[in-house]
Amino acid sequence: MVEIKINGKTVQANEGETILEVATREGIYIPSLCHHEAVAATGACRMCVVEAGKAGRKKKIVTACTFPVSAGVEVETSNDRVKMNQKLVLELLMSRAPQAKILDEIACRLDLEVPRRFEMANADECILCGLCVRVCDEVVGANAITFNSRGADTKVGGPLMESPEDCIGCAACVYVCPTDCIKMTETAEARTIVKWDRVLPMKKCAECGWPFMPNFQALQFRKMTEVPKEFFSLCPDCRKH
Amino acid sequence: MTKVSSVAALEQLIKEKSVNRTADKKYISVCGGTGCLAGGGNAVIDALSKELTNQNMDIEVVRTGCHGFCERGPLVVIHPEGTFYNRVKPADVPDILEKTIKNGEVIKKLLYRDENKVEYEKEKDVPFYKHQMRVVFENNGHIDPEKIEDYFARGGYKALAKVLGGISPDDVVDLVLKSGLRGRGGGGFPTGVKWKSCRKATGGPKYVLCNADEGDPGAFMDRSIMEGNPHSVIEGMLIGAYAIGSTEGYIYIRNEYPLAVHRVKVALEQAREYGLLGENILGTGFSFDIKINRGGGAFICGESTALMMSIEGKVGRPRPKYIHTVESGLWDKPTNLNNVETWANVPHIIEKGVEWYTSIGTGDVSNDPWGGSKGTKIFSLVGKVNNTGLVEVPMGITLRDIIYKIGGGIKNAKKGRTFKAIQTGGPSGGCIPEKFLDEPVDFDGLTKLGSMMGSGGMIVMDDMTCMVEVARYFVDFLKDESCGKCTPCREGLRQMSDILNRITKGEGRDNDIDTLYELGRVMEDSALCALGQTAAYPVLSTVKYFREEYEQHIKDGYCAGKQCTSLIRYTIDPEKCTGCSICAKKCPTKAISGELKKTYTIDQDTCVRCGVCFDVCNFNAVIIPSGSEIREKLGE
Repeated sequence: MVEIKINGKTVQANEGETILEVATREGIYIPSLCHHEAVAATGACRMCVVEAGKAGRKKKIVTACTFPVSAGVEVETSNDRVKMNQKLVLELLMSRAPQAKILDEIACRLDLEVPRRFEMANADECILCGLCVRVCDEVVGANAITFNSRGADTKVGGPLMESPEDCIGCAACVYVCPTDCIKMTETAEARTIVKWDRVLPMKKCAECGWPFMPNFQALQFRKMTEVPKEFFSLCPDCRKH
Repeated sequence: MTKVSSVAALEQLIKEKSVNRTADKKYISVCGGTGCLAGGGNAVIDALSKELTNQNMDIEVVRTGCHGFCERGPLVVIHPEGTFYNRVKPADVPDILEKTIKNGEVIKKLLYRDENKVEYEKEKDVPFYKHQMRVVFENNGHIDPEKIEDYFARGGYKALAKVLGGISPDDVVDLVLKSGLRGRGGGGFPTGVKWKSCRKATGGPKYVLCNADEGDPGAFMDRSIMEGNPHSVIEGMLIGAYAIGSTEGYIYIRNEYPLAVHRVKVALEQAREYGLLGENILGTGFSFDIKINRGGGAFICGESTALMMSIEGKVGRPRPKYIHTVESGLWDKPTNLNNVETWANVPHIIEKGVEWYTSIGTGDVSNDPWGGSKGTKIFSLVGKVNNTGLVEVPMGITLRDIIYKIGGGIKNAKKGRTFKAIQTGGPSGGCIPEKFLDEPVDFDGLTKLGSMMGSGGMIVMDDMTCMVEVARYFVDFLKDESCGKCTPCREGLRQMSDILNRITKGEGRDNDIDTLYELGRVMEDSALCALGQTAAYPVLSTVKYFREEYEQHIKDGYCAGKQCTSLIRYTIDPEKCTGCSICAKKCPTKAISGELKKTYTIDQDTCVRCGVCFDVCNFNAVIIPSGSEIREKLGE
């Protein structure tokens, strides 16, 4: 265990833990968008910027989600410098996702008046945090979607922006998207991940007839988990009986 | 060719080969760098070889690497006298052999003439070379980069022999640390400190990388080192690998450098044939080999972590470096990355000693490796100067010396052009105005002025350069090259680009300068990698030193550099126009009309504002009003 300071308060931390982990445990709010405990931290959105450094040294702006703490590190989560950075990052993100509720919530919670000076990007509310890409790769293992192009033209989608053939329609991307820009529709026949233009026929429970998951997802999960063939013929409810 | 089996055998080999390049040996070196080859260098070399064979003359023609004075190519130097011929054509070859080689006469028309028509006979007297200090580039004019024997002949691999002959890895690290060598790729991080941390890092294998993904517009020093003297880089990497304890290295070269890729490949093969790469080098038990990895054209892959991602086969996007790459880099293993020029410095430090190296440059590095900038630095000097090309100068030289002594001053000074600014450090660098020209050029000096050393680009700008347009150009370049991972860089550059494009079109708004400044501050603080952190420098430095130009654009629609085509008009001053008609003849859109010996006029609707009329007019009769001048002069 090492001692660090957050906003002047001395706290205990494990060496190598991130600032975000320590702050969360201590009940100190640091906003974040591209961070999720299920996937590796990447430091892309820069929403979780804080000021950190050793005592007596020049402090730097770092991302709390990736910065590993060590003994004597001092962290400021809401001084003027941090606020200036948070405010502009929010304003820049709002130019991509003007409708995203989460950005307004963060601004509200940080008590920041965010101006709206910038030209809007044609981004369909996507802030390119990459959570969908990482979840699809690291958690689901499908690795169906990716970043296409680069810079301000970056777009998330299947390779070359085609509908991703490896997408199993599990909807993990829909679930993790912080701006809610990945929509899904479902009928008894098919599930559609609207953003990826991916339509997958549904598998119906052999017993109750509930269309509980896409056929392709059942197939891939069976390959990955090596469960018996019958396992995915029943929906989770009927499986319990 | 047999493998060299011991340190003593290598020393003997170097001694044997040295007779090929004694100080009085007669040979003709022809520049075979990309610039001179593009100017027809190969044809000159072919003509020389053919003519020498025809005449049964036993004189060697050496196709060397880049000599640096690219705008004057193809270059031919006759050794040992050092007679320097520029812009040589195959048709000049018989004359060169007949007059210069046989009779020792100098051919006047092939000599270099400076802007005052002064002729120079010897390479070393040409001002462009005279004020340089060539260490890394020294061998470029003498050796054939595709012949390892030529490198031996100039004392190549002596430093490797010295190291493997009995300097411990720790002592090698210490030597580099004491030399004060700092990273030539841009960051200026002390090389010895990096090596020390990588040597200390636990785990393995350890990797040694060479960053040859040189991407700054107009910069080509790394290319010229690889094309001209690839073995110096390999020797540096061998010494580094020995010091760090690595067995595997990569050279990451951008694929847009086909000649560099080819020559490094040939050099690696030859080094392997002599047993200088591979298993059990010189029988010392030290093993090391190098692979070439070709970059796919992304500027961001010159950033260390993106480069490593790219070698791993992933998309080149940087990652946070809070855990340093010397501990966890390529494939999460300890990795030491240095730039081409840094590696090429290493053999010289080992060979000539720390004392010699620290005698060049600024500051005191005896106790603090950050205490100064030692050795030489290669700059690519381009823009509105008379002599452009690659210049190697000692750290601490003033900007004025580079521009006026080596560069020969501002181009078209006689037509009234004057110096406005010099942009250093590549696209992320800043613009430095006249008042700082006497400041010393070193890592800390340039940073203090709001610019940076970067990889060594230097673009000289005259009074006909619009500083807002300069900022717009670099911001647009970086916007296109940003990887798009982090918000401040991706979105910040997009907004900066929008604002700057508006300003140069005369659509600037009152608070634009403040917004640019705020964006710049946040990008510097919050962006993930060095590209984003420094991307705002072109804007911040021009706002700092040339704020009035921004204000003029916004308030008056006035462009002082007369470059923003939306804000200027070309018109002819009837009092100065002699009616020579040259402007009308050269105008690509036939916008100029008139009668011979009478005043010509420009039709504003047809004019595309290309500036050809301004360039060709010998009487300064074409004038370029902007902003309120347009209203006064043209009544628009």
